[in-house]
Amino acid sequence: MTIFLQNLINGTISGSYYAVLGVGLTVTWGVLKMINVAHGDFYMLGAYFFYTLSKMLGMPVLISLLIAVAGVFLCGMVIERVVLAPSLGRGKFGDTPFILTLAIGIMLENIAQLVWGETNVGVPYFSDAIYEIGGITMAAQRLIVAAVAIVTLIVVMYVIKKTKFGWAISATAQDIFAANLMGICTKRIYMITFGIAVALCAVAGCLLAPIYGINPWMGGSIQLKSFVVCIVGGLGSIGGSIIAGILLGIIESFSTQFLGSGWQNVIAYALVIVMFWVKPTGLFGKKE
Amino acid sequence: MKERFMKFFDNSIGKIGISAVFFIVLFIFPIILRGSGYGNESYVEGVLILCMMWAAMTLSWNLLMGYMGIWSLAQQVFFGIAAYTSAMLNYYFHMSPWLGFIVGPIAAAVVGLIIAIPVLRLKAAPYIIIATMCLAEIIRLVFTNLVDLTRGELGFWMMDSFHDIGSINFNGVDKIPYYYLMFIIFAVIALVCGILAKSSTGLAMKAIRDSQEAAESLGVDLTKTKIKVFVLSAYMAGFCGVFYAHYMKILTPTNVFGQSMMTEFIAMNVLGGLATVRGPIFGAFFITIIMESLQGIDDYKLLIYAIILIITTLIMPNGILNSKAQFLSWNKKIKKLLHKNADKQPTQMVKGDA
Repeated sequence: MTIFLQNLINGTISGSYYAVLGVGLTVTWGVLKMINVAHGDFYMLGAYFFYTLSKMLGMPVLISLLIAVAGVFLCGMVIERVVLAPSLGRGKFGDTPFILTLAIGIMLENIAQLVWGETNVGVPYFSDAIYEIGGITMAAQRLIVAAVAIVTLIVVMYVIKKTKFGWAISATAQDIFAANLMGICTKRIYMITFGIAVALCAVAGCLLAPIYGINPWMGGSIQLKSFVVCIVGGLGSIGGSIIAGILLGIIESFSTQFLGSGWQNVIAYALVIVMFWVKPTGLFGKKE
Repeated sequence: MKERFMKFFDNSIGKIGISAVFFIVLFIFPIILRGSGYGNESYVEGVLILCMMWAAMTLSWNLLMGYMGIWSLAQQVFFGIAAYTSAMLNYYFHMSPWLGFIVGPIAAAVVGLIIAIPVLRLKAAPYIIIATMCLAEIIRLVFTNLVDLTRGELGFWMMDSFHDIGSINFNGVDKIPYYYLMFIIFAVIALVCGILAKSSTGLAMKAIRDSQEAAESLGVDLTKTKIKVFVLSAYMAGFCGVFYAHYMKILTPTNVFGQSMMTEFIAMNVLGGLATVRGPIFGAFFITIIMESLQGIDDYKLLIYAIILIITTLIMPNGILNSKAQFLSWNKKIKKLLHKNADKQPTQMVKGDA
């Protein structure tokens, strides 16, 4: 029973991050109408920015976190404007921008290798405390991580659902032509949305860096897992992504327990295939 | 003169002539190389073997992506499955590597069939991308985790080279036999792709790419065509896989199932031009030779890759070989620009015209 609860809690905590990543990907999908294969590489970039600021320059954790996220946000906006914007809306759905994001992914990975070297680096835990309640051990680090994830998700939901800017994003997602007529600068919305999506990756990257370590290839498996979250939750549905993310975390935690550590990713990816067989629109997706 | 030159390239006889010259040059290249007294012939032949192998792989992927518009990112899986099948049968059951050319591609085709079935249900490109990426990753992880059978990431290296036929020696000291073996595989695949593109199946494939609904309403059997092309594409990739297994003689899951190989195929195909036979061949030879000559700056290799990919996609979305109109319009623009700087008078005329 204790093991069951322990797994459940661990799964929920790592799942909250899959949710953050999945929401980023799903927003890109909904608004820019493309899939971003460089999503995991922005996660890696965020982690490296955080490492540079907090470990190499010795800044406090909170400040380096904020600067790292803002840095990735700016990088995302610049990349969107320079590389992606000219190709959006060209040709068939998702074709050309897809190749560009693939190239951006390779580029970011290679730049990280050149700048920070091809080794694993680490960041110290934010807090070393460990709590024990009824046989369930909880590192304070994981609690902080979960709290930040929940706050981030609430902020994103609030911005999209309640503010004028969020309405502009929804309007652009629904009908770009009508949005333009209503006086929304859709190009700016595209740029900022892409920035927000990759900033969410950076949040996840910074907070998971102390637990999983940092290397230039860390984005690969995260990338596919955010795809899993998106598909299971239904592409374009933010609430669905959050639930699917937590679900994925829990499934992964239990499959590591019962099958051994090599196989949990196989289960996660197989989830996508099962989903495509059963309900291609995802758990909460609308019909096309 | 220039007009005639351009016309020669548009002419179908001219096109056939160019491809014939290309294959003949490739065929007699080792002889010229040895005759010229260049010292390092085995290295140059090695590079050309790689060129032909990637060209054949890209051609097989081009059938799916270029002609049919199905964004399958699992081509490297067919390659890897065939390579591992042949290598493992050779090691565990002492099967001749030559029989691998029969068994390997069939195994790849079966996997192609398995991958085609879930993909058939999906119509939007992004769903297919995600599904095939996940399938490829599942297969890579399975081969990594079955350490007892495949030695995992340590690499499977215990297979034989191709057995000697008579006096033709495949021990790898002399690369000529491998060169001609790959040449035959490459030429046959290119020929099949060329014939297929002209056949009724080729037309059906192009119709599916342009609009699935319209193709279906005109009597194209979507399921049958898709499965046929998937299996054929996997079968072709399988030949390259078997060759790779007994030529390189080391297989690791990351190398043969990893996403990076797929990225190479995408770059080669996009650079040369989708939905043509010459495009992938040009792209594969161009990128492989460029990469091989950039060995000195190995660290920046992937960066250069990415930049090539970005620039091609942004300014020549149809690939280098399909952008004649674009080149001509640039030519005009440059001429106009030069004209403007040389003389003020025509500038006003241009403005007046506009």
